[in-house]
Amino acid sequence: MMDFLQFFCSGLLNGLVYALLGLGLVLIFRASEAFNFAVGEFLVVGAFLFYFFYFNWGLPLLIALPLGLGAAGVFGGIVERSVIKPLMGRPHLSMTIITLGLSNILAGGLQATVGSNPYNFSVSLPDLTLDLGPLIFPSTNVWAGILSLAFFTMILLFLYKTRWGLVIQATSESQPKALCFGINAQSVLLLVWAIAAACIGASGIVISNLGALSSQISVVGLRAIPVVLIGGLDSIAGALVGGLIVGIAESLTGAYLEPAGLIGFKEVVPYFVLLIALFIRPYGLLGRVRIERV
Amino acid sequence: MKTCFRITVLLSLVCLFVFPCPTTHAQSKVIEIGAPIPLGGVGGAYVGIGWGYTDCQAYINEKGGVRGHKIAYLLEDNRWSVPTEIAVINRLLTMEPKDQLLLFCGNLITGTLKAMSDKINKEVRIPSISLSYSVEMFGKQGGPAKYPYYFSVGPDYSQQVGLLLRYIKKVHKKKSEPRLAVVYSPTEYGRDPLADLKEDVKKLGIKIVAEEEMAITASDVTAQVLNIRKAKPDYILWHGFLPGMPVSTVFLKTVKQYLPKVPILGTHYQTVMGMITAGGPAADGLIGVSTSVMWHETNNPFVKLAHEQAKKRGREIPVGEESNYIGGWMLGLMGAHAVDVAAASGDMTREGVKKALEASTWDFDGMYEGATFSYASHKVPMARIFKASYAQKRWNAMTPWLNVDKELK
Amino acid sequence: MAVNRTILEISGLSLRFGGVAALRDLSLKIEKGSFCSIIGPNGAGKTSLLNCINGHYRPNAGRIVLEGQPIEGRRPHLIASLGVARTFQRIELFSQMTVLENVKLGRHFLMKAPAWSCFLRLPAMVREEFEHRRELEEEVIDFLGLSGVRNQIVASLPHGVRKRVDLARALAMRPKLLLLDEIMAGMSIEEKEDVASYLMDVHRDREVTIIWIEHDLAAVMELSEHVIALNFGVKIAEGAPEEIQANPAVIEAYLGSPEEEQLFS
Ligand SMILES: Nc1ncnc2c1ncn2[C@@H]1O[C@H](COP(=O)(O)OP(=O)(O)O)[C@@H](O)[C@H]1O
Ligand SMILES: [Mg+2]
Repeated sequence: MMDFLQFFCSGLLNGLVYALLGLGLVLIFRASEAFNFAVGEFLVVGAFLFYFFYFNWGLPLLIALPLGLGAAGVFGGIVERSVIKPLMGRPHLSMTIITLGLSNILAGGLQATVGSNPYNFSVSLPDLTLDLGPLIFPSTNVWAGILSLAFFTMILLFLYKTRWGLVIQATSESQPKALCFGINAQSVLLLVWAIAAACIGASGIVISNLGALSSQISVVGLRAIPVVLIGGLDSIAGALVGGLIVGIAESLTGAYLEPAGLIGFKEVVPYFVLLIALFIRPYGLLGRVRIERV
Repeated sequence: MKTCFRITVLLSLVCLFVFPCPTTHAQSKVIEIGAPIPLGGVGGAYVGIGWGYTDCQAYINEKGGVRGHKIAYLLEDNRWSVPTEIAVINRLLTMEPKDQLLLFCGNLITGTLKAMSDKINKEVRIPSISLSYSVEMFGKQGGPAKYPYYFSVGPDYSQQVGLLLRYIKKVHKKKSEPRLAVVYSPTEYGRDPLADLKEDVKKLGIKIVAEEEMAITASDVTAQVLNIRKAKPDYILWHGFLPGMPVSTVFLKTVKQYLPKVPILGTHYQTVMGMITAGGPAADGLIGVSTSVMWHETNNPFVKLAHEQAKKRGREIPVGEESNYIGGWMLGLMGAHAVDVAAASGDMTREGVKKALEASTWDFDGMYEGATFSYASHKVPMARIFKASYAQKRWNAMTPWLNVDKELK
Repeated sequence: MAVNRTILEISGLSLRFGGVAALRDLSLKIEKGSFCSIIGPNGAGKTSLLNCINGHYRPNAGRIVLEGQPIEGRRPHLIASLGVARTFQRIELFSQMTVLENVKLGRHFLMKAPAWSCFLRLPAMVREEFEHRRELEEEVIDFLGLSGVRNQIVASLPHGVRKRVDLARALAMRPKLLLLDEIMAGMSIEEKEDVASYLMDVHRDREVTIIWIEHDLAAVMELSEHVIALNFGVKIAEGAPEEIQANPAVIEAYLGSPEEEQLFS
């Protein structure tokens, strides 16, 4: 029982990181109706931007973190302006497709600039190891959970408690309506991509801190796909639920199924869960049921 | 018209890439050494190896080459992928003249060695010096009898593990027998030394209390580390990982937090500079066996040579690439030396190079510091045990050069 | 001084949807501060005209000049920022949000604090938000009698109230020119009377120019100072209400249409 609790809670902590990653994708999907396949590269770029400020320049964490996330936001904005905006008014699928191309271009750019070797990434944070006798949660994992949750909550507060958040929701629901309200939908999209990129960048930082930073951690970004599909592509709460489900499923698989010989099954299990979730609700557990308009 | 022009340009470009210009044959032919190395892919980019080759090539050719012949290392990216590497090898074999391409030395992943074993050992018969330490290829089941053209630069993984187990026996202070947790990647090379390891521990009186597999793509290994923690080991042995794999650092950091006091011991590829640069403080205190010399060991004549050459060519070796750079030099010099010996005996062919390698007693310009050994086993039997120091950012040797042929009797 | 008196001047405006010509070479002038109605049978092109003015549609030809500035083909939010607000025939509110949220959204483009200041809750942003909030409460929500429902979800409100929320949102945009598309459609007599009095107040006290599309001709005759009649995308008559009432072309246009009987009732 203690075992189960240990693995369950470890999964929960990881799940919070996935939730943050998923949130970035959901925000983009709601606003642009595009799935951002370049999520893995966004993650790496965001983490590297922070790396420069914190490790290269040696700025204190409390300055480097906002700077890094801000830079990640600027990066997201540049992507929106250069890649997404020119496609406005075209079928939404074309935006999704172009993110696939973008992913390749960014991966190549990363390979050329930072290479594919890992960079040591140990942010000095106060030791928060939770040693409860039979249960133990190491400091980096606890921090990963705390930081992800804090960031998730911040975005949530911004979305639901501020005027700009309201505007983002409105624009995400209908751009023509928003335009008639006098809202500059395009600048809102820019803002959404910036926030989403910061979100994904933040999860990149947290993920790098669990191991090392290298362009290869972009594969973790792909784990966001089952996360958002399980929760529902257009649901913010869905990102949280999906993230936690994937985190816990992975952890329990690692604990109980992999030792039984199913090595690497951890990477697959989110898709199994996804399959089940889609059987129950085709639009994701919390996704809005879409009625096809003629 | 315009389209037509564009297509022509495009086609010519494609042709340029697909059919590179034939090399002009000077009076004395250039000796070619095929060198597939990883410049990307799952294990990361090992550009340092390439620099090592390049500088080694310049060094040798500036001295006048090998008995009047210039030497050329044909660097190719294998992306840590068996199919890519096989394609590279096949391409070189078909395109390069038989009397010029005399040997391969490079990454040559275990999987490639396996897949190409008939072609290389029976058909083409070209000596191939690999960075693999596979037991299957170079250990008891393999070896020169089965794969006469395969060569390695160090003891096989079982022998490396053997050295580590004996080290454990030596340093173990407790009365009870040492409790060992074994962690490996579920890959060909990861599982490679397992069978021998299990026999060896019985002989030595070490108890394996946990055995965990850790996928090289995993980004979280809490489950494995928790299982290990439950088994209360005195030592952890890990094998089958590269610093370029994200899982390596995740593992180090997780162990450091759950089991801060338990030493981790690893085989050659865990004992490289990249592990310290990637792992940071979590890599401090790592123990590992390495078949190579370390960049900071400037007293070693071989390392001194590499330093001098790097300086001469204005080469700044970034932290983390040192082991790779040295690796490039080592393979480069080894290949050139074999060609040299072959030429001296008047048999500058693939067969001549093979014979030269087998008879070799040469110690890499002093790399083994005067220790003598035989290369008849097709592997250099020398290795040392190191301990990582994060503060010094280097691996410090804990033992002198150990000859496995003697140590593991 | 004639230029100054005109707030909106449209000339040669044409709009086509494939083979259908919704507007044909339409020209008209709206005086600053006037209360102008647009009438015409269904499909006459009234909504299309408003859509062109507020940038929702891009006309095929013609000019639309707002206070000396050409605005045809500009994006709706830019035209809104010039002081043009509108309500919709089919209500275009964010139906899952509350009344207050919809009204606030209408005011958003007049507020200056950038997004990042909302993250930091800078005092300047809080102050701005507070001032606008007070103004919205007084001059829009209380004014239109919506204080009782301000925190209710729009979708849960009856049709007449929703129409009023739509008006509230348009008023929140501090318009110089207010475009109203069949705002009284589907309202009870009392609701119509309420809206009429709100409109009169807005027109008189806030000096807002109003262009009002309406089918209830009795209301049109009672409230408006100037009436423009459209049919098949063409202006068929223009003038004071009494003149239009007697105009044979207008009577002709309505002949045979369902509105015929109620025309001058
Ligand atoms: N988006 C549209 N697509 C196609 N036709 C349209 C569109 N909007 C309006 N129309 C056509 O334009 C003409 C005028 O419509 P509209 O302006 O809505 O008339 P009114 O508001 O006067 O009833 C109608 O024939 C209508 O079918
Ligand atoms: Mg209409």
